[in-house]
Amino acid sequence: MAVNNPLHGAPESVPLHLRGGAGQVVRFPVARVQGRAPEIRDRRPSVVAQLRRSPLTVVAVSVLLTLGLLGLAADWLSASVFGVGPTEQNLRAAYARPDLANPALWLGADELGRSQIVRLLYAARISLAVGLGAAAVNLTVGVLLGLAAGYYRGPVDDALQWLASTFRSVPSLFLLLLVAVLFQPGPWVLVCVLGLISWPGTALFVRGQTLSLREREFVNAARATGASDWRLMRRHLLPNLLPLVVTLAAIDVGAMILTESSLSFLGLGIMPPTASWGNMLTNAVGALGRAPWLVWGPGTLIFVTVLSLYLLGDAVRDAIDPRLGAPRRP
Amino acid sequence: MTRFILRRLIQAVLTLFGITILTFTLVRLAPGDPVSLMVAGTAEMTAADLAAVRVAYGVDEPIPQQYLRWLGRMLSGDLGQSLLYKRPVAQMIGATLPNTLQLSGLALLVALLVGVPLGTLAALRRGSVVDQAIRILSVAGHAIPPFWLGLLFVLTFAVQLRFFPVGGMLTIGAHDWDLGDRLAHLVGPVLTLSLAGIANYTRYLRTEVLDVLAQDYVRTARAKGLHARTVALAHVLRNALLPVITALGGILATLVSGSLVVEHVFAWPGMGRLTFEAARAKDYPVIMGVVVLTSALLLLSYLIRDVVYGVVDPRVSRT
Repeated sequence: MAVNNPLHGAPESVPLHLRGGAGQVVRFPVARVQGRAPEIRDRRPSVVAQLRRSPLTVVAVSVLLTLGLLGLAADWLSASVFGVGPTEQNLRAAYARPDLANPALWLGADELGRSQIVRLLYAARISLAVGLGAAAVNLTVGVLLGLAAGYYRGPVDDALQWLASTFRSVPSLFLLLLVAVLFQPGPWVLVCVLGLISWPGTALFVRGQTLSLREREFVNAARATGASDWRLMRRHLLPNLLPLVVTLAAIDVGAMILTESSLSFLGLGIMPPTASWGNMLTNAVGALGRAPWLVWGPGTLIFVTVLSLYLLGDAVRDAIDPRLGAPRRP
Repeated sequence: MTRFILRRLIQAVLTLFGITILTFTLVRLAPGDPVSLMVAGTAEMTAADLAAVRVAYGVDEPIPQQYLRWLGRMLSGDLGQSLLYKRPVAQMIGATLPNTLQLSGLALLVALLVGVPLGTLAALRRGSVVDQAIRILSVAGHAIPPFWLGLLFVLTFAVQLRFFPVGGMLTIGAHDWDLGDRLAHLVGPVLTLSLAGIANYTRYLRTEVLDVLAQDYVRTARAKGLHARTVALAHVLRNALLPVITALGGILATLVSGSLVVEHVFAWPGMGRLTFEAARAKDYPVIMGVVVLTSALLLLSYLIRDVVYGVVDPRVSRT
């Protein structure tokens, strides 16, 4: 639950009016009485148009793009603007106060005199990459298992349901802790494990969609022409599922980043000297009285990133289908 | 009703079974075997010594047999032994669990007391500034990292303003029943832990109340000329509160996971902190015990929730 986006349960069914036609201007062949023909618009504007109308969503997207670009440009920025690397120590500058005169010390320095702002940039790269990677794993596993369960039904479906409820009933942070102890934690292990913990939501959603899709006429028609199971799933079911599922998984990136930062904060996720927003706070705890400014940067960035992802996710869900936001009834 | 309870019970047992397999498999998938983790850091051992330890702990047996043996011990209440303290895991969990329950229970209470009114208010004033503000606050409540919130609390109220103690459960030397001291220690962790729950309940209640507001009986009540407040409290809220029981599941899981970081930040001597310290020391039997036990407790609470829901709303148990 903690890894899945906590804002929503897995939605059960979604109409497939995502693509095509929405927002297009339809011109009716009305007689030219007064010059212009009346424009009749589809009642629902396109998803992107709906998103652009909400200022909050635009802000969220801008924040995410900015952070992503800053993360990508971390190498260049640290070399040309700040002049120090993310692991460059300068013990004489340990716990240096924020100093606007020196770019490297804009946000102060940590216990080893490393530039806080440069580390924040590199941490943005790691946190976003881990979040996206985990979403990719989640998507791959979830779609494959969900598709198989929904298509074959019967015992395969029962097995999936059992597996999914098992994974969902373990408090995820505790399970992550166990994995961190048993395996050498690192970005790759973290990506796999976060993805493996969050797949049940995706799988159950894909399963529900597949169950209803496989009864549709176009699937029957394809089957009647002798298409194989594999072809049916790949050519007819998957393309219909994918846009929505990708959106849902992308939204979960926020929850992934939150979990990654908790784990790194506890010293069991991304390991120093690699900077992550979570592990930058680990050492700040010991210096609360001495260097309180070290607490603000990483936390604010986690908060802003996750908040933007959640707000964007909410908006996308509402635009795709307002009913998705409603919690499931038992 | 009996069939419904029975079916849920079987499902819960099967899930718990799955969790034990998952936990056991994870431990066995790790590089090396439990014995190599156990002897890591101890003085030189000969290959013969290692083999002897392996036999003593049964690690030389086939894995399914080991699993069954481990499961049998778990079922009889033996959760294994801590590598670090050489104490039974069950005893260590037993000593810390009440503190965690105390924290989570209070956090749940706060979440209900704050979240329900906020969510109802937002729904009744749908589309207003109040609604917008509450909506953004509830998303923010989900997005804020609990450990950072805890740190900010400690930084502002404990280190800078000195309103509350920095952490722990009791001031050293204070009497066990010094309630004021206990409460002062509880404020930070409870508030931090309850935030996600507040956000959850606010959001949930808002959707539920909006749902109920659209029902025919609400329109009827209004048409009868009942006072707006009577409709809101007697018709809308009563019906919207029912599903709050369902939301409990997700919130309990959030609280359990949240207790891990919050207890660490506030040095609260609970199960979360025990787990964290075990993780730091690579004391994997403790974590295994905690994972299985908390999962069992969560499953039990889901079961109770489902049964209560079935009793309150008979439509559920009939499907």
